[in-house]
Amino acid sequence: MMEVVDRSLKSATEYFQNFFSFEYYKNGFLQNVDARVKLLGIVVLLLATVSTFKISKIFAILFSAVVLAKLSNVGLRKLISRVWLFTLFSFLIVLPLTFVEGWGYVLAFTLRVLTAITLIQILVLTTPFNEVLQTLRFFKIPETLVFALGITYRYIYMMFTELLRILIARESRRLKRLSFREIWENGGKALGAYFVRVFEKGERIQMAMKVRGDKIRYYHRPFKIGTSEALFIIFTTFVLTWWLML
Amino acid sequence: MHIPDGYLDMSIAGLFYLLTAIVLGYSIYKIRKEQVNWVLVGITASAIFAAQMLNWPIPGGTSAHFVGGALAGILLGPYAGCLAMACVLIVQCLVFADGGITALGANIWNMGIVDVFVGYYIYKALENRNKFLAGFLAGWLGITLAAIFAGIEIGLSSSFHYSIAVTVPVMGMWHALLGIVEGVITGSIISYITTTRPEILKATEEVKVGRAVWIALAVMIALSPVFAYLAELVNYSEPLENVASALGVSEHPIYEGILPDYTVPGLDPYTGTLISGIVGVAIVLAIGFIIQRASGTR
Repeated sequence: MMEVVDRSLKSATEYFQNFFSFEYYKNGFLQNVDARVKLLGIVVLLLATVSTFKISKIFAILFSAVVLAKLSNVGLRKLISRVWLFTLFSFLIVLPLTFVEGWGYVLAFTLRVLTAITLIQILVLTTPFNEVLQTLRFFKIPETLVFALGITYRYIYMMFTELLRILIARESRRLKRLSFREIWENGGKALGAYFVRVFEKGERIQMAMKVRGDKIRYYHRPFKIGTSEALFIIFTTFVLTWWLML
Repeated sequence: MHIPDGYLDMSIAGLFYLLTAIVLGYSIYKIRKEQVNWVLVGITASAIFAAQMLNWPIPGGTSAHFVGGALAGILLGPYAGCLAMACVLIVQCLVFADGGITALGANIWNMGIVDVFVGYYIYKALENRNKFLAGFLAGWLGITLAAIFAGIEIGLSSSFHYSIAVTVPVMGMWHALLGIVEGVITGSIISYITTTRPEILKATEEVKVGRAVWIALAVMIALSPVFAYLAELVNYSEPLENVASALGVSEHPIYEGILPDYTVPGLDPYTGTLISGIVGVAIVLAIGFIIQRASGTR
């Protein structure tokens, strides 16, 4: 039926299957830092990055981010594979400005985006999502939002496989190559059927949760500054002092 | 349309965090008060996340993907839809690094608030005529306005050296084209659900739309002088006027119109823009009313 549509979904499903199964197996420096301290530290470095256009300052933070990635066993190749695309996109967007502003602005802007994305990737690659949810509750984000976020994350993979099953079922019944119009019509119906199933599943899951007590709680570990947290705070303070001096 | 870190000024990012916190906070308050099924909100959010991964072929060999803000609003109602889209965008930011942390407020504002609320109210205003058309316009206008907001945010940021006169038309026009994909998908899904499980859509029908639409129209009219002021602030002028000026061509209109250049002769430009807005909306509403009466539909 819909080569582009189901190919994109098949590759996305495979990606997410790997993502949810194998993402957090590595251990390293940042993986042992309390998520609350880590989130605050990364946000401070992020704010320092996006509040300057001085290339030396941005480089200082980018260098520190790469050091953090190395200490946390996040491979440089993996990091580059996750940041290059949007960095290149940002570079191409501002490239015409070289005629007006010269290379200085274009390089600084691209470097800012690269550093900011690198910092977020390091946070993402070293923090399981349940720790992110615990951190959000710790910072008093409303529990309705945090619970809905937890459900969203928990059921993403299931929803992918559900959608893939619908598309495979339709594909298996196809007898001829379809025109654009037919692809769109069939695709619309498939997505309509998918959302009907989503509603039915949502109602069943909610009833099942009610039976079990209808309550989710996110427990945090007691807050304490251990060796990893102390080292991370010292590291962040050092980087910020360096950033201020440049 | 996800804005990454580094594109927005801290002041703009902070402003949109604040605006988003207010609307999202009120939505959560309404959800709690109305005891909305938040499990369904989370499940729908994960379903929209999955549906966003589909690439739809468009003529010319390229493809586009679905965003789903208007659909979330139509399926769940505006408040729960807003929460569902906020969940999608937060997971995309904090798990997949799609969209920046400092820009998260702006991203939720664009795709989780503007897209959802505009989509929902457009759909509710038109659903009695034709479900597909209502869904199509909701999806198309929702995503186009969300993109225009993204253009305003990055255009007003001094970190991004393209002016608002460039960013808004580029984002708006490009997404007005891509929005056709969003509109067709939204319309198709709504048509299918209407024929198979119409009770899903009826769950959000108790909201009084008429009043809300009038309020939204009034707010947009009241804000029109602000956009006139902003356009002046950034020295905005129509691209064709720039071309004419560069070529040394001058304007000789055959007929000036009742409200030339959206102003009222003799009045200051801001009051003129405000009056032009009121007159324009009144004319469009009157035409709509006449068509409605002529077609005999409600």
